[in-house]
Amino acid sequence: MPDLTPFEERMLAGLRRVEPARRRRWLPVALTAAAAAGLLVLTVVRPPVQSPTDVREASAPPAIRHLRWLSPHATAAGPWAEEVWIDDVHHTVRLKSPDFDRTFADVPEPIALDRPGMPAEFAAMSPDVLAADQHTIVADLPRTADALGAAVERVAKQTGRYDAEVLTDLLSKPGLGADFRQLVVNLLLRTPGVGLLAAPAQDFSGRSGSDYTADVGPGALSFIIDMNTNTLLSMNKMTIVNQ
Amino acid sequence: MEDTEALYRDHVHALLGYAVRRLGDPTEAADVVAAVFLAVLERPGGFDPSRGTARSWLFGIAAHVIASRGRRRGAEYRALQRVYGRRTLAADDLAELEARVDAANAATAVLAGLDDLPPAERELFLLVSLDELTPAEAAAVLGITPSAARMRLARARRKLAPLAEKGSPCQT
Repeated sequence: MPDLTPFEERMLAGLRRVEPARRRRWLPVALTAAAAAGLLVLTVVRPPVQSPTDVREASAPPAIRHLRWLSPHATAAGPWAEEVWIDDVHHTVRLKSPDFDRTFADVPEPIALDRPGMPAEFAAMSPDVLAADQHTIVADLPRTADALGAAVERVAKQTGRYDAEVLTDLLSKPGLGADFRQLVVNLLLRTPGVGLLAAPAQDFSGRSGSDYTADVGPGALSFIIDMNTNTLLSMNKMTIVNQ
Repeated sequence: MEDTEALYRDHVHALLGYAVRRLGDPTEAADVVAAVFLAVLERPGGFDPSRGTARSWLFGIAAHVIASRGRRRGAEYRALQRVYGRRTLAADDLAELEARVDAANAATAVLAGLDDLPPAERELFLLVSLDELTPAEAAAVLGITPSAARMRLARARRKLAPLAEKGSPCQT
């Protein structure tokens, strides 16, 4: 074994003194429960401004899904990032990278980056994780937790991805019903390696949600979910941008 | 702790080198390495040999921690505090790591032509040439397939080779 430097020795001595932290798998559940309890209290104390069904509708306004993939490499202008802004209301998609920024209008619904007939730039911007799309037909997915979990595991194995990647990818798809979103979010938050990073947190357009992180091997994946509507507001994935 | 200690002894030096090269700041690099080994300590059994070597696993965690830093400002230096007992380095330790930052800067400076490489090729090349990972280990850290890593590495070397032939200090 190589000799340690004095600093490395001091760090090792410190590590020996550290007591492993208790597992905090209950934390997301507890915070979700606390948020739900808070919402319940607010609902009881203050009459709702919206009808109860509004609470279940997807996404806070404006209905923009923001997906962002970060490369671990810095460029002269800052970290290399590819961003996709999808506006399901106005049917626009903005693709942005350090050397490319273009907004497409009148994009046909449902907006999905890898759908046949989409501009070629969409495919170029799609990250590897969207390869899962080729094997996943949302409409045909099962609607029970166990069966959906098995399907996700199957797709993850086929595509060499982690379950959390497939689930967040699935959650980023348009047109998912409220019940199905809830099912996917429940599965996602139960996935090993998924934990709460911060709540409340804000996405890049200022919308409030809960920030989660997922252990996806060497890559980094974090995402913000509006827990009231089980909507994926934004996703950050550290990946290597294909050159 | 025995397993973690063995991992620490085997890989801490390389990890510190990687962190100082990526971050250029001694305290931040020390905090990242502390966070990596805290993560290892708190997740016994987290290493899956079927997914790669221990080295690529640890580098992968470090890459994850580095990528998350900007978004976790409140958590910065907390790992260093837990492992090292303080959030800033003592003078001797700061000097030790500053010397490593200088060495890393000098090492990348002599690799002429690196700035012209695309980011993905550049990082891969540095992981292999400076951090001494195998192409397969570097591939695991970067989340790409070993064959893609080998192709990118060959491409990077092809681009850098003419510079070396012209007598520049490029070392491939």
